Amino acid sequence: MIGFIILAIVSLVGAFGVIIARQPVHSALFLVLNILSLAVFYILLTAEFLAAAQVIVYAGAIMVLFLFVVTLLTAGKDDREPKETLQDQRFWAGVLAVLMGGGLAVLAVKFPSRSIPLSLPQNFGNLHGMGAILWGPDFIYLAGVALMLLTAAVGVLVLNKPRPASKPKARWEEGES
Amino acid sequence: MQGLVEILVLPLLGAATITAFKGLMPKKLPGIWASLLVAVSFLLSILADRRVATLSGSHHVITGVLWNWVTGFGAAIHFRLYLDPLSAVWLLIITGVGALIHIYSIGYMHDDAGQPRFFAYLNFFIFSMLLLVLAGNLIVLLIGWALVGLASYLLIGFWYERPTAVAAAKKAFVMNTLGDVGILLGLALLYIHYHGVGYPHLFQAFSQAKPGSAFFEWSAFLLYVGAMAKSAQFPLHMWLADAMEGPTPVSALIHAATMVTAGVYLMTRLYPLLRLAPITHELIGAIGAFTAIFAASVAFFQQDIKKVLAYSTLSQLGYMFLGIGVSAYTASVFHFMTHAFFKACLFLAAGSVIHGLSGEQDLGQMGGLARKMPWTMASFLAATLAISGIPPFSGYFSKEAILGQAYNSGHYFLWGIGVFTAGMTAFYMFRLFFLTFLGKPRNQKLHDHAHEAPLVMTIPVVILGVLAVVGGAFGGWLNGWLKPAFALYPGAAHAALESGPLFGTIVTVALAVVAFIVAFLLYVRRDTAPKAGTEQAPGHWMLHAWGMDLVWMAIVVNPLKLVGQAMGAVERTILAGVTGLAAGVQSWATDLAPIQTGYVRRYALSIMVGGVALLAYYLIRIGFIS
Amino acid sequence: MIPLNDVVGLAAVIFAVGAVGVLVRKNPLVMFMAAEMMWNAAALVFVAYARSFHAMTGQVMAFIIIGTAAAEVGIGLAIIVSVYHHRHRLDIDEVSQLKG
Repeated sequence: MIGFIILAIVSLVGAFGVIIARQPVHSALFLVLNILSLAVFYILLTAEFLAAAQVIVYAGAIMVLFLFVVTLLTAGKDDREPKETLQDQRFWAGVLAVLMGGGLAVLAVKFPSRSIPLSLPQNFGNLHGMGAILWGPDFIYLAGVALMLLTAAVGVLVLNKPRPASKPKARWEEGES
Repeated sequence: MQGLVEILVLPLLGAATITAFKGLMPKKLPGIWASLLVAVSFLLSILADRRVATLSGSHHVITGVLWNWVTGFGAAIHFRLYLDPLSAVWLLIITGVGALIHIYSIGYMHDDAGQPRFFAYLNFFIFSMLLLVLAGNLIVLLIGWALVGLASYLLIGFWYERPTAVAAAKKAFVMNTLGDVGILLGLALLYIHYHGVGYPHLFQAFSQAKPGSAFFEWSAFLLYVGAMAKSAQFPLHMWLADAMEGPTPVSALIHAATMVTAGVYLMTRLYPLLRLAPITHELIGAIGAFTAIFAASVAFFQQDIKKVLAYSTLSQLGYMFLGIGVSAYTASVFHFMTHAFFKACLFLAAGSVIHGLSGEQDLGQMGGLARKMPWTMASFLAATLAISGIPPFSGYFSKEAILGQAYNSGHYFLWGIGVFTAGMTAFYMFRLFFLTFLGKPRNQKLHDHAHEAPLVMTIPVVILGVLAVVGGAFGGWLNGWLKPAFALYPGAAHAALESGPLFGTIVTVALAVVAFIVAFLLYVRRDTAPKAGTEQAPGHWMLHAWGMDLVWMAIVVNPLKLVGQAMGAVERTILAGVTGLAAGVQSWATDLAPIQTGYVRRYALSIMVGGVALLAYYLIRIGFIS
Repeated sequence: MIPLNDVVGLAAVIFAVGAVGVLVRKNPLVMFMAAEMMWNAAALVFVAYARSFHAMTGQVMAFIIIGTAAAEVGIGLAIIVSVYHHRHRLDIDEVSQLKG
């Protein structure tokens, strides 16, 4: 229980850090903290494969991408948060988030789900188990994810392809930045 | 079932491949490919017919279900094919004459830019027509029926740059659709009453029914309306003359040999129903006879070589329906067969003439072509003798069989009309022949350039000409062949060919000979101009088809137009209310538009509102907050 | 053995914090990170219930979430970069022409 509390605090620190930090780089680092603590949660919940995937994909690939774009776009510029212009946006965001998060949390804690007394099946959550299920009955999801990633890759290429020659300067800028 | 699907599918394959690959095909390939497929279809038809012939028992039928089509409510409808001796005759004519006309078209259309399209349509027509005759129930028949209408529409309007062709195509389509509605209603009546539209099922039901009820009269009449439209019987006949706007091979194939006889097919196919509907049965004969004499009178003074043939087709169709009306079913089928031979031959020969005169169709520009086109002339002469009913050419036997049965069954008045029309036929056909091939050339320049058609066109014409001469010999064979098809009702004996009294034959032939002599004297000896006789009252009215177009305009088209305009006014009034409503919605939307601020975060906030609302709903539902 | 219900509750809180981040921050990159956090919270719930029900379907769902997040980040960052090329300011409220 104590371990859970410590982990929960760490992940919440990461979460709040993301939204409070004034510079995007700091947000990104706090997000890494949050993600890694969640990876520890996954290990505790006997999801070894997902924990590894979380670290590799999120902390590894996605965060590197984030940091790269942050440095790309904010290098040498004023990257502080602009002033809030939308009236009452912060107030209502807080109210609604408290209502939603509080409601969900209270619901989760107050209504315990029934637990199964049996011991866990063999290979639960480890590489063997995930492999057996992803390449077996749930192959369609694996294929779907693969297709989605492929589509995303093509989409990124299309989005950032050089524009036609009408604005040669923009292309030069693109190459420069 | 064996082999039927192949017969059916080959022309469709041709239509599909030509349409898909016409850009890749060399110039001559579409015609050869289309002709080849139809020819193979013809050979397969012969094989299928041989199988029918070897079947034992009283029912010579090959039938089978391709797939279950409409199931789940009411009686199931299957996609059934059905081949019996009756459809076998049609099968042979469609594919056989069709193949000849395909081959002819290779020559006729050789310099037309739309050649691939033409052959695709032609193959599609063959497919539709085969579907029509191979159908195993009335619904499949209706599909084929509608598709041949479509093919006819496409082919009449083949030269779509000509406004007259487009108008003619539209007219044909609208009138044929009128007939389709009739068939649809008729088969709906039968379906509701008998819970099925398959031929075996219906024949079974008909054989146990008592004749004379209004139900049978109505269903037979509605189906007859369909046959009437397709076969251009009297009030629905005008489209056929206008259909000559299409290329000549189309006129030969669709508007003379095959499609227009679909009505004859339907009526002979449903003869047990006609036996149960005596009033409609008589009506068919009467309208047939009237159509015969009416169209013959119109053909008298036509100036266009194809128009004459078109009206003679109408007239011959009238004969066929006359035959059906007097229960001479075999004779009608016989006449259909000989007519397919000699009329296809006439049209193709006329096509050769038009081709040789570089597109000229006016009789006033022809004359003296016999020397220039000997083969065409000989075939045309043979077919003319056949259609005029001169023994021993084919038309004599079939026409005689119909007239003989009319006399024997006591329809003396119809018989009289038929005999008189036979004389008229001889007159206008020989007028056409003399004006085209004999006498002095009326346009020397065209005459000098006239030439015999190439072999690819001449050979089909000559084959059809030979068939027109010897076609009468098929009569005896047809008698035995069709016996099983017409064996289903007590009067079966009358369905076979009968000969009339001797004096009837003598009168008919004598009239034809007199007509021939008159035509010869008028148009060869006296060298009367084609236009002669069309200025005064009867000739003028005959030339303009007795003004039937105007009558239709006055009785049907204009009132319908008025109704349409009235409906248009009503609709605009209703639409005014609708536009008012739309304006209200629009102003409301303008008022609401500022909600869309453009700020993504505002939208995200609204999503959150929705999420919280959903959460609250579930919490209330499970009673967590009350 | 860790308390499953509390894990789910924690996930709810992280979800709400992420939502606040999306609603409040104006830097699109940070908004995006907050959205990633929301994804993660949802994945955590799946994993927790997979453990609770002894069913690996939940973990498959979490796997799909990770895959989707990767695809989404790729596309999203590409869009941000190309928008930045036109605007040269990292402010989501700049992109607000599409209004009624």
